[in-house]
Amino acid sequence: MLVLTRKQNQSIVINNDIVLKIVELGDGSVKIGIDAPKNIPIHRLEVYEEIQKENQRAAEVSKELNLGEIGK
Amino acid sequence: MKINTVRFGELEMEEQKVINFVSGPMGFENMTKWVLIDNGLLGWLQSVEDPELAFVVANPFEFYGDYEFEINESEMKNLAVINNADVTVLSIVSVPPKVENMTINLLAPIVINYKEQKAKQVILSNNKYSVRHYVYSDLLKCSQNKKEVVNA
Repeated sequence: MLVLTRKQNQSIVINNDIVLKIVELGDGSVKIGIDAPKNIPIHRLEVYEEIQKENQRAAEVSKELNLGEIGK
Repeated sequence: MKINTVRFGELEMEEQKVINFVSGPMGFENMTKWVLIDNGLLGWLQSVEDPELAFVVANPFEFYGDYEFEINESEMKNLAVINNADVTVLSIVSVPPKVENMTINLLAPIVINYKEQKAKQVILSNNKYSVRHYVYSDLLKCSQNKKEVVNA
C-alpha cells in the first residue's frame, strides 16, 4: 500500500482524472473531497463489505427450502 | 444447454436465458453467469458456474410500491440499456432457517437489462434503504392480495 502524508487542503491525483482532497482535519477523523468521473462508483468500504457479507449470508440458504411452502 | 444444480438437479435451459453479470454479485464477483427460475413472488437466481450457489430473489416493487432509485448513466451504459422499459430489478432475499426472519436487500438491488441479458448488483446512494429489511409480513400481505384477485 502506498502511504502519503498530506496536509489540510492538499490533494492526491489518481490516474489523471480522480482527485482526492483533504478538506478538513478533525479530531480522529478526516473529511475527504473526491472529484472523479461519474462512472467511477465510490462507496464507504463498510457499505461494500456489508453487502458482501449479506450476499454470503443469503447464499447459505437451505438446500431443502421450498419457496412454495413459505407463508402457507 | 444443461446446468447442474444441487437444488433442481440438471436443468435444461436455452442459452439466451443466461444472464451475464458485468461483474458478479458482491462477494461473488467471479460468478457472472446466472439463470432465473421464476416461482411467483419469490424466485431463484441460480449460478450456472456453481451448482450449489443460488439466491432467493424477489421483485422489490411487488412489495414496496414506493421503492425508488436512480441508476446513473454510466451504469446504464455498462448494461447496454437503450430502452428503460427493458430494465428489471431483483432484490436478494436472505432466508434463514427461521423463515419468518427473512430479509430483503433493498440497498443493493440487481439491475437487469433483460433484452441483452446483462446484469449488475448496484449500491444505491440513497441511504434510506437497508441491506436487511424484514419482508416476511409484507410477503404474506402480498400473496394474500394476489389470492383475493384470483378468487374475485
